Amino acid sequence: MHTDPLTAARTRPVRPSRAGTLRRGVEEVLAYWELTTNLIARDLKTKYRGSVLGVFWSLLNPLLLMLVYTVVFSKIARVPIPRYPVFLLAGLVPWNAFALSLSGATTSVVDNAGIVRKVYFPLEILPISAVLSATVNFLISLTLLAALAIIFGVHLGLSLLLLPVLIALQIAFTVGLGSLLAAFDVFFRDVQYFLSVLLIVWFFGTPVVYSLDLVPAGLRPLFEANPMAWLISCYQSLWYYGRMPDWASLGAFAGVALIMLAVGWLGYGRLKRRFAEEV
Amino acid sequence: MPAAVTLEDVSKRYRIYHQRHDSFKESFLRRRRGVYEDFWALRDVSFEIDEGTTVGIIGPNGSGKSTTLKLIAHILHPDGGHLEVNGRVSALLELGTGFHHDYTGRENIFLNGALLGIRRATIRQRLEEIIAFSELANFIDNPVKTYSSGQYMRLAFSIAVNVDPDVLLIDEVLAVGDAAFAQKCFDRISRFRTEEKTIVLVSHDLKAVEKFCDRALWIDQGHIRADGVPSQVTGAYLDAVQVREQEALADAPGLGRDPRRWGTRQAEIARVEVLDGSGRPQYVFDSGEPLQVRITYRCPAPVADPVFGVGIYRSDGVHCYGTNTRAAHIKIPQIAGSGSVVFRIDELNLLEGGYALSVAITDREDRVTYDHWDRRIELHVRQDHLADSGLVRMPSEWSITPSTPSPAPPRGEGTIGGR
Repeated sequence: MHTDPLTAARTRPVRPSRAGTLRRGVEEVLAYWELTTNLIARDLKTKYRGSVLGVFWSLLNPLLLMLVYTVVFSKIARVPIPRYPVFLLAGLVPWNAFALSLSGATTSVVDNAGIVRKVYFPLEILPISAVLSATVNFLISLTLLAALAIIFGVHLGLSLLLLPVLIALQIAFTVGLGSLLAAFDVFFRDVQYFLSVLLIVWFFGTPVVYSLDLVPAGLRPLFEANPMAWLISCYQSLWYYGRMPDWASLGAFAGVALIMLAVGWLGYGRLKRRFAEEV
Repeated sequence: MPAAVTLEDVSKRYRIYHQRHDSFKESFLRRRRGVYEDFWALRDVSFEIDEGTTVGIIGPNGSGKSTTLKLIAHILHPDGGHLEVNGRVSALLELGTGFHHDYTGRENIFLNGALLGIRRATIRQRLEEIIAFSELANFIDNPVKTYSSGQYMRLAFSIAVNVDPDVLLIDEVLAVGDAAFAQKCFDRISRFRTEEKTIVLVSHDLKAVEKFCDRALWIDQGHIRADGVPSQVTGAYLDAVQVREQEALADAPGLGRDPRRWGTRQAEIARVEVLDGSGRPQYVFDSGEPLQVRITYRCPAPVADPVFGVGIYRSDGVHCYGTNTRAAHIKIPQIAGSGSVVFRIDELNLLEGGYALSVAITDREDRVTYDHWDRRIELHVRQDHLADSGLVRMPSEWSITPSTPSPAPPRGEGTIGGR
C-alpha cells in the first residue's frame, strides 16, 4: 500500500531521531515512486526520439563498440584472450551502464533545475531515476551479451542467479556516488566535466578490455584496489568463465557499495537544502 | 482553532554572487574574499495561519512574498527560526512547471500530475474531467509545444486543481487565459475555500485579495508591515506606495545610470508629478477621475521645437495610451532654462490595476531623444463603484427594445437555443 506522497515527511517533529529521519526519507522516496517511474519513462522516451532504430540502439551501441574493440585489441594489439568478444562484452556492458548512470545522475539536479526551483518533491529521486533509466538500457544490452555467450559456448549455469545481486549492488554504488556528485555539481559545474575525463581514465584502469593477469605484477595492487574491478570481475565470471564469482571480490564490492550509498544519501540530504536557490 | 502553518522568527538568507563562480578555481581563490553578499529575504518573520482560513500576501516585488510561500512548501529551508506545517501541502507556484514540450497534452497530464503528487489512479479516473475543464479536447493528443500560451496555461491549471491538500499555496496564478476561463479558475479555487482548506495566496491583485481572503499580510523588505483585515491592509499598502513614489521622485534626478532612463539630456526631465484634478499630488485614482501630469524640465542651452510625450502602461507591459504635443498639433518654438508642462486627462477611463507612466522629451522629428523616463512612475487605479471589466471603460449605453409576443413555433420544432 502506498503512502500518500503529500503526507510523508511534511511535518517536522521537534527532535527527529536519526533513524526516524532515515525511515521517513525512504518512505517519502517510495511514496513518490510514481514520479520516479514517470521520470524514467520520460528519459527513455526522449533518449532515442527522432531516431529510426529507436531502442535498438541499446543493442546496437554495445555491438558496434564490441566490434571496434575486438578489432583493435584482438587483431591489432593482440591481447591474448580467447573468445575475446564475449570477454570484452561481459565487462563492457556493465561498465557502460555504470558510466552512463553515473554521468546521468551527476547532471540530474542541474538538468531538472526548473522543477527543483518550483515544485516540492523528494529530491533524491532525481539521481535515482537517472540511474534506473540507464539500468533499463543495461538490461536490454544484457540480452546481447547472453546471446553472444551462448553463441561462443560459454557454460551458463546456476551462477547466473547471482546476476540480480550484482545489478542491485551496482545500482546502490552508482546511486550513492551519483547523488554525491549531483549535489556537488549544483555548486560547481566543473564536476560534470571532470567526471567525463575521470570515466575514461577509470575505464582503462579497470580490466575490461584486458584481463588482470596481463597487468605487470608490480602494478597489480593498484588495479586490485579499484572497486569497479571487483564488480567487473564478478560479471566476467558469470558471462565469460561460466563460474561463480570470487566471493571475496563480491563481498568487498557489496561493502563498498553500501558504504557509498550511505555516504551519498547523507551528503545529498545535507546539501539538498540549498538546491532550490543555488541551482 | 489549530494552526495549519506556524512561522516563528523565520529568516531566509540568499547569497548574491557578484560574479557567477560556477567553477572550483574561482570559488577557492575568491570565496574567502567575499564574492557573495548575504541578502536576507526574510528576517525574523512570525505568524500563524489558522486552519481553514484564506490569507493573501501582498507587497512589492522582491519583498519576500514568494520566499515565504516556498518556505511553507518546503522548497526552501529557513536559515533561522522554526517553521511548522500541519497537513498536506500543495504549491501552485508556476503553472506548467515540468511540462515536457515533446509530450502530448495527455502525456503531460500524467507527468505533471505525478510531479504535483497526484496519484496515477486519481488522474486516470479524472482524466475526462481534466480534459473537459481545459477545453482542449481536440488538441489533447498534440504535443504541447504546438499549444498557444493560453492553451498551455489552461492545461496546467486543469491538472493543478486536482491536488487535494490541506494547505494550498498559490502564487499569482489566478488569472489564466481569457475572462471566461479565469472565472472558472476562480470558481474552482472558491470551492477549495468552501471545503475548508487553508489557502495562502500571493498576489499583486489587491482587489482579488480583498474579495477572496479572510486576512491579508503585507510583507516589505523581509518584514511583516501589516497583518489584518484585507481592506485595511491593502489600503495601508496603497498609501505607502504613494509615499514611496513621492520619495523616489524627490531624488530622481540624482539617479545615475538607471536602465529606465535614456537620452542626450540636452533637455532634461527634472521632475514628474502625478496630480489630481485640482493639482494635488496623488498616486491612487478612482476610475473616471481627472489626472494631471506636471513635467518639470531643465535645459542647459536653448532647445528648439521640442516634443513632450506621455505614455501609460499597465503593470504587465500593455501599452494603454500614448500621446505627445506633436500629435496634439501643439508647436513649442523653444524652451530654455527651466519650466514645466502640464498634461491633463479629464476622465481617466482605465479600469482597476497597476499602471506606470512614461514621459519623454524628443526633437520635432522624433530622431533625437533628449530624455526618456520609461515607466518610472507608478500609479494605481481602483474602481469601487464600477462593475465593468477589462482595460478601459468605454462610454457606452444599452437600449432595450420592448419585446413583442412571438407567434407560436410550428408544432414539433419547439426547441430553443440549440448551440
